[in-house]
Amino acid sequence: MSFLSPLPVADISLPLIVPAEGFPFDDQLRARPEANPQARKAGRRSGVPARIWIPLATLAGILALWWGVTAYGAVPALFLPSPQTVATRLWRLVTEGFVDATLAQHLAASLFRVFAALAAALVLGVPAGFAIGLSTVGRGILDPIVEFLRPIPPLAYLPLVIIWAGIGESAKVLVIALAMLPPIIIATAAGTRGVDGNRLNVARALGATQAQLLRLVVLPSASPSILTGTRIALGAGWSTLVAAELVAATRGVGFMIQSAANFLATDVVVAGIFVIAGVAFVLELAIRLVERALVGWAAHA
Amino acid sequence: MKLTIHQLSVHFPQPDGGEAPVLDGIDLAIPAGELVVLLGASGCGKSTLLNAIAGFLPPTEGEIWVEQRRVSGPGIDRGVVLQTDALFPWLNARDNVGFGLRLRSIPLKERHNRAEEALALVGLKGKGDHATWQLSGGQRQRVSLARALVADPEILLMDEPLGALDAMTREQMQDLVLEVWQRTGKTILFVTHGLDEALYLGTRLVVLAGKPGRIVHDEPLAFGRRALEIGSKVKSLPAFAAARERLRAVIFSGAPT
Repeated sequence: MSFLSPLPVADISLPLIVPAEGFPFDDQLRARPEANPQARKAGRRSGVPARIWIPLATLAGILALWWGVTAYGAVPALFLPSPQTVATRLWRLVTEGFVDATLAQHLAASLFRVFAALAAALVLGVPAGFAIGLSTVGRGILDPIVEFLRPIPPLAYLPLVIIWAGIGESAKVLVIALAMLPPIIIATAAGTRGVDGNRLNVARALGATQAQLLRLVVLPSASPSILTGTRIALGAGWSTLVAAELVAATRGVGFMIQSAANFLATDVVVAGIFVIAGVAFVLELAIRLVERALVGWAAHA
Repeated sequence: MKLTIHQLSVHFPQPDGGEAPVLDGIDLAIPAGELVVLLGASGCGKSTLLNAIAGFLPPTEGEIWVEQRRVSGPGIDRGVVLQTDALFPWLNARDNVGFGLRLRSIPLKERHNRAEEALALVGLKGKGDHATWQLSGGQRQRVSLARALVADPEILLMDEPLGALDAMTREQMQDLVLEVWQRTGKTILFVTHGLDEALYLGTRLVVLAGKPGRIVHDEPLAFGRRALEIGSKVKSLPAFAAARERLRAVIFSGAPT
């Protein structure tokens, strides 16, 4: 798999996406209104632009359909509780909690695992990506390992990780970190390989040592790629969370959903799914902000 | 001699295992303070020669000396300005210029002052806080020149630095190069494929031609010094036109004279 430019890969890899440039304009083939004063006037007259009201209407439609089928008893509440039930349950999850912990405590446990795993994956993955991107030996050693690890679903190596690391917190962090490593390594390697040779030469002519080249030229040049890798990794890690919390967890949103399913508490399951989706959305937004703050220059370069 | 090249040959390895000669038997001696223009058509190896002098490329045979030191790699005695400005987009203009000083752990305040001085020298006073992407192509190339100057190199190697600029900006930049040369007294090796540019700037013209590239012509020029006095009017002098016609014949024949 090749990383020619960072952004498209991220867009393919993440279904839940808020593009950096905003939501796509309604039709790329048509001229944008600002290019045509008459069209702009027409657009203003119609009020809310199509790119905003169409997604909102879709969401409202789904909600109405959901409410309809549950209100008229077309689907038993055991299979699909009504929106009101889920909303009420969500509120009770916040105030009272479920299986001995409030929603905040479950979330804190899950977020701790994901961010501990992210820290570990960055500490290991960025140097590994440098080694693959910059050295033939490093690439020869690490590339096969990464390519072996990358396509395996985390659930497949979960049992082995439990045999090795037990059923404690470290096993859960390890599984999530393993899922996060390949995107970080691959994106870092692509970023370091793509460093402009002229930039390196100019820095050398200014007297840069190898260490200075790595720290002051290669690392900043690769940082947009590294952040793209981090974004993909966060998505991968968050998806692995439920699997990691299947085993001997007492806290966590994945665990909460699992135990709710055992009690056939479908409303908790559905509410939990919404929480997971909501947190993923917030994480995505947060890392977009970090990208804009740290590597905003990449959008212009 | 500021720069001495002795019997330099550069061969590039080929995919079939063989070697393609790019430069062959180059001898060149440049005294301090000259502005030598290296002229040649595309593919004659002039950028390769510059890369070898900069130390980016090891010579296959021969030696390159700066004063009494033999070149074995890149060094701060040789500053480089390339056709692509190769600025660091994560740094503003001032920090780009100060990059070489940062490598030498020079304190921030001094670094800033010297970077601002260099920016003023290239006509970018007050633009230090600009991001590189806020600058025009000509301004970016000025930053690139200031970045090379601030490290105070003994020789400035310029590889088609104006090649990517529009015609009007290029003329302004030619005058800037002359001005910087006069004010700093640097030895400059300026690579170009523009005959007018070569005649306008150089105190000496070296023509590279053939495959592998050899020096086919080498003569002193007087227009650069004249341009410092009367500017671009130099290009209208009969002597300028005559030199252009004569040298055009030399370049297109490709034969040693």
